Amino acid sequence: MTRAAGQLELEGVTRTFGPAAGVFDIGLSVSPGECVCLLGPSGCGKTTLLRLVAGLLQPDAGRILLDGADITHTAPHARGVGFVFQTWALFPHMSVRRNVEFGLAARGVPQPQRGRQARRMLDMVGLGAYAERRPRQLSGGQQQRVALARALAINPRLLLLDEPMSSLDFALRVELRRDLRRLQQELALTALYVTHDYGEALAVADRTVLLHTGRIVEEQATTALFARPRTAYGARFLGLHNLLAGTAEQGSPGSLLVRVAGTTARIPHAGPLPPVGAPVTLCFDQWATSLHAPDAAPEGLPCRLAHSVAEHGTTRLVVRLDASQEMITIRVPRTESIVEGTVLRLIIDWSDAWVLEGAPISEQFSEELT
Amino acid sequence: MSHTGRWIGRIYVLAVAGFSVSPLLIVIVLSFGADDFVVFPPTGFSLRWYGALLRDGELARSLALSVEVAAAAAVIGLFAGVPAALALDRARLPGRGILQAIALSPLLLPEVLIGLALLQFILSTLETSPSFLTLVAAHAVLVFPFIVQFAGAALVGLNLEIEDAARTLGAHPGRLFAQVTLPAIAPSVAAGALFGFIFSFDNVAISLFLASPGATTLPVTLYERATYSNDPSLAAAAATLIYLGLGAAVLLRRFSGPAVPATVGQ
Repeated sequence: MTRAAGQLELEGVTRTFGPAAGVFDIGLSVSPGECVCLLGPSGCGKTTLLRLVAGLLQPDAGRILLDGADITHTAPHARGVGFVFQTWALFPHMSVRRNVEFGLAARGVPQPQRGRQARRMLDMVGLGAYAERRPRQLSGGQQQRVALARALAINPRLLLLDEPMSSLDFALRVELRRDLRRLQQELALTALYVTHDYGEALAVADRTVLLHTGRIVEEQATTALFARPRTAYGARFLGLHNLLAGTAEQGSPGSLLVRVAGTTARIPHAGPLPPVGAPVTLCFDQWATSLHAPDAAPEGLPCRLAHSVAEHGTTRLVVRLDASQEMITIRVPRTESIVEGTVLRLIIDWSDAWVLEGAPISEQFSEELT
Repeated sequence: MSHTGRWIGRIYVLAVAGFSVSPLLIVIVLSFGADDFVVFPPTGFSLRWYGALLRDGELARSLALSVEVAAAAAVIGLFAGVPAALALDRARLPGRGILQAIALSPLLLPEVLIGLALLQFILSTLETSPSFLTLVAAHAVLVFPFIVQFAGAALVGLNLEIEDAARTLGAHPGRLFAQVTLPAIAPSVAAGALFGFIFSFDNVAISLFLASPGATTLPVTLYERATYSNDPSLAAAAATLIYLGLGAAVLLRRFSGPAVPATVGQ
């Protein structure tokens, strides 16, 4: 089966709903065979963006190009774009087979080929034996697979997925996203995947685009984003890092001195240096820290344990720095519990820290994300 | 709930059911009577009044007329009501609430009023006299709100992503409506049409106003006979209608029973 993978380009795409809601001036490019995840909290505009690409919404401004052709004003039924919906949206009055054949019938593919293609798709998602069932006779996971088979049956140049697993339980989600990723790579599908769950982004996407209030906040290769978010919003949303507010002091090639939490830290830094005295936000991994008793590490930052939470395989300790009252999260392997309020010393591995781009962390962000 | 409470509940439900069903049971018992006049309890069992019913040309003609009128009204109601429901649900009409109220008004207004108004309209505005066609048109007015209501409820419950899915799969608007929207709301629309049919079939008030010579519907004929005769053939006719009504109720259950969760979606 030949499948021409598509190249998607969005240029300045804007669609507003009232003064504040919608998506604004989105520029995005998805290469053939690439899976890009649109990640963000509900209301960030990620589903709006997907519906714009499918033609189910019309942009107020901007252009959408698929393989170089402007499809901004092409009707959804003429775009050849596959869409897997959040509710799966299977046709309840049709058998599974007729659901999968629907797109082929709409294209005028005659019966013997249509049936063969549908069977091939259902076999591919492991549901060949369920062809004559009605959707409501299937489990949630099976319905999700039928929705995928139906979207793939039309040989789409682009596959759009709108939180396709949000109504499934965790174990099934883990299994299905692995299957989906395998399928996407085997068929070299160009895909745009919307989710609010960063675990899904990590499992399926080559690249992740982070959205906030209708705008792209940052985009990186998925693994790079999770290792080193560039923005305060990204770091806060993913919740795997710590942020500290500091003031830039003088720099030298490859590094920058930053006044932070009552101490001066040398931070690796490439590129243009911020002016001396400028506020900067430092970011570092929750694992790039260690806690010690005061006499064991007198050079560490004085802090007190605010609380500790036992999590899957690890313990998350949250301490309050004496100097700045900022909260720092430290992940350690499972430990004995420590009494809250215990006086400790925090050592941060500054060689693993970096300066975030953009405006320093605002109170607004922290309120939204907690 | 306590044991006694449950028994009181049961007795109450049985009493209400008995109160509403007993007149029907009495009619059925009377219809099998062997007497020349209506006597309760009948002195013997016979099927003679059902036989009389079969030989009664006037009843047969008015039954046929009632079925024709109800069926024609249901068909007109379908063609008018489904598009109206779609427009009310989908188009961003100004004054949608008012339009909806107008569409449903034939259900709420007293039938006598509708009958009188239609008669006035036919006589003075159309300057014609009641005929089969005006009777059908009047009954279509009765059926219309049922279709609008049932189709509307199904459209509100329809998962709109189903239509979006059909669009992205390549269905142009015509195919979308014929293969996705209409089949999804069809069970509800059919139930609405059946309700409308029954409503038209047993309507007396409007038919009474719009009856024309040789165009008397079954309920009107029965009503007229009941006023001057005391003949058990009337009971047999009424009982037959009860059997038809029960049959319709069974059909309705089959139409709307299992189909409801499917149209409402997940």
